[in-house]
Amino acid sequence: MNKLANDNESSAASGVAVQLSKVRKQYGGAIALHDVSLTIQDKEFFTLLGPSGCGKTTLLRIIAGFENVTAGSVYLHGKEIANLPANKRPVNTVFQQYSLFPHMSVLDNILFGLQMRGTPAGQAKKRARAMLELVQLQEFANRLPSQLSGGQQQRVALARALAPEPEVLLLDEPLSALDLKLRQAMRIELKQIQEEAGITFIFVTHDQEEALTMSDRIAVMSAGNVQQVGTSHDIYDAPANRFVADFIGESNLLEAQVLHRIGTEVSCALPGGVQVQAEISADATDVSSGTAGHLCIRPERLRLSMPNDPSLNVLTGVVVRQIYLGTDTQLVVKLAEGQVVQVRTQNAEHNSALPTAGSSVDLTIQPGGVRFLSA
Amino acid sequence: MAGGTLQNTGVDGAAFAGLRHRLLFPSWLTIGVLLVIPVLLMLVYSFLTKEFRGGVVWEFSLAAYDQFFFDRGLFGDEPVKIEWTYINIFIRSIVQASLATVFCLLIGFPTAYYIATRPASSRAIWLFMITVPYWVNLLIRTVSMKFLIRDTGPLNHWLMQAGLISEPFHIINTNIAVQLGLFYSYLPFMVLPIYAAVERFDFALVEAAHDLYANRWTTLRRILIPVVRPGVIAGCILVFVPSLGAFLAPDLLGGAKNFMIGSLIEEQFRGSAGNWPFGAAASMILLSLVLLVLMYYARSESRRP
Repeated sequence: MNKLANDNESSAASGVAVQLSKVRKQYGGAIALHDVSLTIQDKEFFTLLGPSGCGKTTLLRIIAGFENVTAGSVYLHGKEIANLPANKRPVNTVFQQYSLFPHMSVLDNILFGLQMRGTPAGQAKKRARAMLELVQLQEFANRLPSQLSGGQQQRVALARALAPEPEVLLLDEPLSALDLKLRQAMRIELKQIQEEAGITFIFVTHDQEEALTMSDRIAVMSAGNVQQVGTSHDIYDAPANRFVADFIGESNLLEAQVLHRIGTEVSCALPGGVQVQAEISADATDVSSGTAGHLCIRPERLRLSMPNDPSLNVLTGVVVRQIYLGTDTQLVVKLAEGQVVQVRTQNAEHNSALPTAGSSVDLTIQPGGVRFLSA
Repeated sequence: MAGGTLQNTGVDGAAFAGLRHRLLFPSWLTIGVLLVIPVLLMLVYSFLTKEFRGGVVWEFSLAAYDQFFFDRGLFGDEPVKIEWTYINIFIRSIVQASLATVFCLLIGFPTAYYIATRPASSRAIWLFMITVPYWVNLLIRTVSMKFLIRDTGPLNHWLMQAGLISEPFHIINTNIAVQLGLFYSYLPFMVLPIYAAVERFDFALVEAAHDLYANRWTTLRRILIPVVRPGVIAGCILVFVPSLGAFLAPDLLGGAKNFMIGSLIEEQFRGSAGNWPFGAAASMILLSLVLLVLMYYARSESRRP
């Protein structure tokens, strides 16, 4: 399957499942994808994460072959597939609405792809049975899709897509139609199935929790652009820009200006004059003293401290609201300079009562908990 | 009193059943008067003796059925000989109705598919255009067809002007003309039910099929057609059944040689040359045939998963 790998030097190296090179998609004047380039490794659980309308589903449909690219190339294991119709691509999709064939039994649904690929009947049956076992639906083989629950239909869709042994499995928000408990259980199960099957998964979602729990790597997308590609840790702890910082988890974004920079460390000043130490990505070569931007501080990185603690990275303010969240308590604090920040503390860590609305507090920023973002 | 109010709003089983029967009564009455009684009447008439100036003599007789099937009947001394005249008319009718169904399906399916896949705003216009000709009476439309296709009509005129033929293409009073008439009369009955089915079809299934390596043809055969099957079958029944009993198209376009069952039956009840018991018997035979087709369909449907 890799015999055309030499056509494209950059992805000829084994281990690359899908490579997108400057993929552009335009609908009339509207641009859905701006020259997107991505490399997805073999056997990777790769997630396209972003708000609705960011282009993630379009990108998935381009890989599946349901949409043509306006410009750019798509390589599957080194082979250019941008002009190959969907039915000739060794790629299968789990659809958001499952799209099971309503007139076929569960078993026939799973057999369909195998039959189309010309798998001998006996072998196909065996494979389909194995898939049913994988998703634990053996006793439902002869049911019609309409006789199954949403969660069961979802498993059938997964089994149907996995049965023909695709080189890459595409999943288009497959969990979004399920209720919360089932969704959480399916996350773990999907990850397990992916590891067992040893297949590259490209997973589309707008749910950051889903992305963070399952993915090996995540591409955060917005407005037809890839904002950042990285592991869950990278994306959460070292967001590339304000969009990623804001979209993934909660963050406090405070305007700041760089005073001086040493490697990946910067010293910044907040509008009120308070100095804060922050980290910066090594690629941010345009940042030097005088650069204006934002500090990103995660709410759980802010600690309540005793008033008048003279250490660096201390902010002072007044509690506006205290919100009890079970394991955590969230405090909304208005800083002396007027900005509002969220502080999150674990309830188990506190013996004494937390400050209530109206009381003054000092906040320390945990070391390593601040990023400076120029964009 | 609170209890009294409760009792009035609560509907107990017996009262509900009574109400249901009373509400269904108009339907039963309509079906009884317009369907059951006429069919029973025909059944009875088919076993009576014919009166020479039309009408019947109230005397039991198998003569009508005997005349239909046998030249030398079951009740003589000579060996039985089948009378082929009427059986042939039946066979011709079945062939014509089947062909009309096939042609309506071949043209109707793509038409319905085309309309159902247009944007919602233009679908109504297409459907409207399909139904516009039906605002004109069928008799008038059939007569118009006769004028269009006759030897000196516009069709032959255009074909000769275009140099495609040098002599008029003789269609009128042939089986082709009857077929054309049937096809034209019943095409919408094929288009509309298929349209309704395709319109409800989830086209994401086509993507799913392509994704699972099916080409266009296989997707049509294994996904689209099976899913819209109920619409296709409804269309086939709606075309086949009235085509089988049609008499306007065969009468006006087919002439005397291309008789169909409908014309045969119609003739038996017209004027003094008629034979009511024979017409009734032919009707009963036609009815049995249609019932057989419908029962076959019902049985094959009930066996599906």
